[in-house]
Amino acid sequence: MTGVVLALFVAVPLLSGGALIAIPHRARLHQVALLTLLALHTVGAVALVLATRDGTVLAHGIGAWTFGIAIPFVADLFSALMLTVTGLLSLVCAWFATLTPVGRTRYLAPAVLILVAGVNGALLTGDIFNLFVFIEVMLLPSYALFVLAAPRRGGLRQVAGARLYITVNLLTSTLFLAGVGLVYGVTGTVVLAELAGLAAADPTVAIAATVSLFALSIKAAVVPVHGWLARAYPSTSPAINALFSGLHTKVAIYAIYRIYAVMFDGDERYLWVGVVAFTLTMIIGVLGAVGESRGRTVLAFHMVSQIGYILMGVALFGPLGLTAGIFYLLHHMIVKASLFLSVGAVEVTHGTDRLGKVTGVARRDPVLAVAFFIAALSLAGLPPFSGFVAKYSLILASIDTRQIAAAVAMVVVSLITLLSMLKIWSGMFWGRPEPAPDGEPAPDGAAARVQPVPAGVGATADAGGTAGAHGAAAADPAGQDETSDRQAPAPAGGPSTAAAGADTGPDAGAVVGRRVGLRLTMPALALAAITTTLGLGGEVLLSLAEVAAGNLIDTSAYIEAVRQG
Amino acid sequence: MTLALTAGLLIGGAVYLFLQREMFRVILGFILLSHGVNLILFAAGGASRRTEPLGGDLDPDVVADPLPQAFVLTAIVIAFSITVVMLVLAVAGRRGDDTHDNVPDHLDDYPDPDVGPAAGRDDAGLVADAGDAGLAADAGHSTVGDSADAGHSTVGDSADAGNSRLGNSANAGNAADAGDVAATITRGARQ
Repeated sequence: MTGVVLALFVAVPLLSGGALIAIPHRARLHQVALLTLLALHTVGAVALVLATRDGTVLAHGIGAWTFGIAIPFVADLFSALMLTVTGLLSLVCAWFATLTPVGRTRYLAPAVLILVAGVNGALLTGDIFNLFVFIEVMLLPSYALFVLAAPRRGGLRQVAGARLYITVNLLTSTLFLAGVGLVYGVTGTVVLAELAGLAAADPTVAIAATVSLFALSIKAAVVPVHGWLARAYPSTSPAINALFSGLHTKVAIYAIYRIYAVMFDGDERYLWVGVVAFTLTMIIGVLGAVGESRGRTVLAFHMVSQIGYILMGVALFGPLGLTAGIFYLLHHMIVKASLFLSVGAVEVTHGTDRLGKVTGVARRDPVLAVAFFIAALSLAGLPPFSGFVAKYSLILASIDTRQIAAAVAMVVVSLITLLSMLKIWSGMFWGRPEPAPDGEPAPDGAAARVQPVPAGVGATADAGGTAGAHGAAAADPAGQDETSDRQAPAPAGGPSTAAAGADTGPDAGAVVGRRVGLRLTMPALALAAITTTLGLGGEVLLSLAEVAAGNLIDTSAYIEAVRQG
Repeated sequence: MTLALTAGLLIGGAVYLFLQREMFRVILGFILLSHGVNLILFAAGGASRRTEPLGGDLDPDVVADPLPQAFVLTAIVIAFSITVVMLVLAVAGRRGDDTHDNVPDHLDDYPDPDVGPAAGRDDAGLVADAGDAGLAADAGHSTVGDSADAGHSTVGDSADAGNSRLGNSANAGNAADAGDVAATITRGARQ
């Protein structure tokens, strides 16, 4: 495989995203195109993994310019693995999105494709200014996706969260750009291969590069600059939330790994800063999660905590640490998205993810509960799931480098992670189902369409009971939901449903309530299955991660490939 | 030197504007910030030791470096497009401005507006609880008038339903009413 194909990972989604905007909107066409392209991307990325699994590095100077002038695209095993998981995640999240109302909006497919093009570009580029550009290419459609609401709703979805998100990201990008400018000022180049080792040799370059690394840490949500993540993410829609959780912060983490490995050459003098910051990130993130009361906010704080673990791999710079870090990164992307998707499925169906509002999901949807349970245990690091392999190898690495305090923190934080996962479990999945959906329509009017059964169930149960008139009343708002996409609080519908619920709930003792259904469960379940596979067959991915870590430690193959481009 | 001072001045102004509460000022701050960073990029090209690329025979070592100029051009385009997006958001959510000194914690977690006006729903109790009704109603994510209406219409029906939770929103409706007045007064005082 020659390096030329690397450009396709950016060109194909970018151009097809643009084409889809131009084509008149047909929801089905957009969905098919989106899923097909993302599946193709995944297949291509797997081929790239096979091509680079022995440590070869592919490179291509865009536009066939010579080294030093061209923008190089480089793929080693680390980027290939990241590309694979990116493809997989965006495929699963897009699949989930097509099952929710957001999936029918006109701009979902183009925006997701352009987003993926940006992520791919950021993973492949070997030029830090170009990295800035691709991060922006990734972020611009994200701003649109963030506020995307179901069609015909009028207005935008969430403005407060989106403002925070854009403000933080723009500030960070500008800071990163300033860092790139400073690097160019002291070295005269922005190509990573030319910058190799310079930051380790020259303190002024190190300072300039640190500005960029600091900006990337904000994007990755490292304590103490993590506050935006847990506030912004839960305010977008569940599908988009899962997509962002898998891609955005991870691109920043990837860039930190890459820049520290190449520019700093893994310089040991600065590693203690990382160990301290990332240990704090683990601890403070998980403590934040314990204190939250919404499912997705808890998960978002967990992301902060887990990002501490992942970056610990780079702070324990060495074969063991990097292998563990890369494995952890890939595992985390999958598991986190799975958790967001299963909690998101509950939210799409029941209208809220506030813990204690919806209970007993495990009784209604045992499959969804299993998917959540697997992913939660995997996140906490219990065998036989991939989280165990990830945490175990990371703890081994930190003992190997004598970072005993960090190793202790990892174990303690795992326990607290389990604790707060139990909080979601008991507040949402366990217990008796809540008495009745008292007039709270689902967000985006999803439940009525995805799962039309429960409305019918409610009506029949009611008709079987005392008041047949209530049955009609109960069916009425459901009908409205389907036709008019639910105007916010249906003025008459709300109370009448409540009345119907009050009648059927205690009297009939039947479980009246919506079920999530298998279709919405499948994406989360698929990702949970992957984490189980990775846990049982962790050896394969671990050996791949080892080769990828080898590429980061010895960057000569990387530099040589870019030179020959 | 001039470049450095100007960049410093622009970024100082940007930081000042970031510390303001209104979205629009924050956006103005971003415009200043991106100009400041663009000047840093220019300075990175060694503007002090190079001259204009005019004339026929040019020595690449002394004429202006084109690469930072290309960087700046790219950065300007990106900053421009994001500014447009931010302006849209500033207009779309004028009421979302965090213009109060102390917003209660429970209003921080952005209840989903897709599910309906906050006061009609599970935040009803919270709104009624919040001691400072004006504050709660104003920061309550939706038109005060709307939430008051929603509260009242539910009240009428809730008599039949006999549902205690709906009863609560009766209080919320009143709180929102009181809040309306209080909010107007607060705004007047501010202006």
